[in-house]
Amino acid sequence: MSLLYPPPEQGFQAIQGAPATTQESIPAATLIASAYGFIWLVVLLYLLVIWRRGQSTEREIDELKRKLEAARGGDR
Amino acid sequence: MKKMFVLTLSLAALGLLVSPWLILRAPQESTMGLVQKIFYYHVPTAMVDFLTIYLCGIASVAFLVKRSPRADALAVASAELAVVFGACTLWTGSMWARKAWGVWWTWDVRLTTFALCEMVFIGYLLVRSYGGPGSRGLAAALALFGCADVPLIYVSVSIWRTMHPQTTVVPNLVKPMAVPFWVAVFTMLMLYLALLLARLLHERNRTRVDELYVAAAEAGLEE
Repeated sequence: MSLLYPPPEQGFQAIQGAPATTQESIPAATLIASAYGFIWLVVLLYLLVIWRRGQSTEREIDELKRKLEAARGGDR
Repeated sequence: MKKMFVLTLSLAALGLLVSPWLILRAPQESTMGLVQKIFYYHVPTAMVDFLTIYLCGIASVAFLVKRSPRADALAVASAELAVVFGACTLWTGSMWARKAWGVWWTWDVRLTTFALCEMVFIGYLLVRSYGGPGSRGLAAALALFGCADVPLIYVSVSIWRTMHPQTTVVPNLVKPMAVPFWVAVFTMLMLYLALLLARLLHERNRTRVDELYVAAAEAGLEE
């Protein structure tokens, strides 16, 4: 039992490198998918933002045109 | 402008379909293996980022000298795209770094100067949004600081000791790697032009709105 669990006073034990059983590794394919996916996501979001801004601006133009035409019609 | 937008967007869509296939077929790099394929989009996004930063700088100088609204529209559109492509470069670089260096981020001189440039252009957009009167001129001056950072980013790997790959990588690519790389550059360029044109079309409509507000004020409709 004393071979499996170090005495409490010893605390953490340093080793050179990392033990093979705890080595962390993210697959390269996941990182590539994340990199390419991010570009797609950002571009699509930006296009959506521009499109929504465009819709709002066009509504504003139509409203202003309508008001101006109504005012000009009223003057006559 | 609308025809150009459709053309560039179609070419970008075609490139986004073809380039992943070419990249997958390209040979793997001897030490990094599969993760090196991030390079094929990481470097083109950085190249396009530098292009849009310089376009923003030139338009900002034109705005500061002539106070031209068209130059201002080009500057703000380019600045927004500098933030978009800068974010793509930082993200793809971080994915590469995790595998190559074992960390998502490190205060390497290339990475730090690039992050600084990204923050300058985020600052540019914040100044324009919340700076009040005179913010356009202030933002234009800020864009020049961003432009000054670009040569520093480029030469940083040659001047300082850094973990980032050198600038000699691209000119020395072997043909099976060079072809997918330049196709990816073309794709990013078309994507950039499509987004820039879309943004400029929107800016043209904003100018139309301003003109209509002036006309409405003259007609006594709006204050």
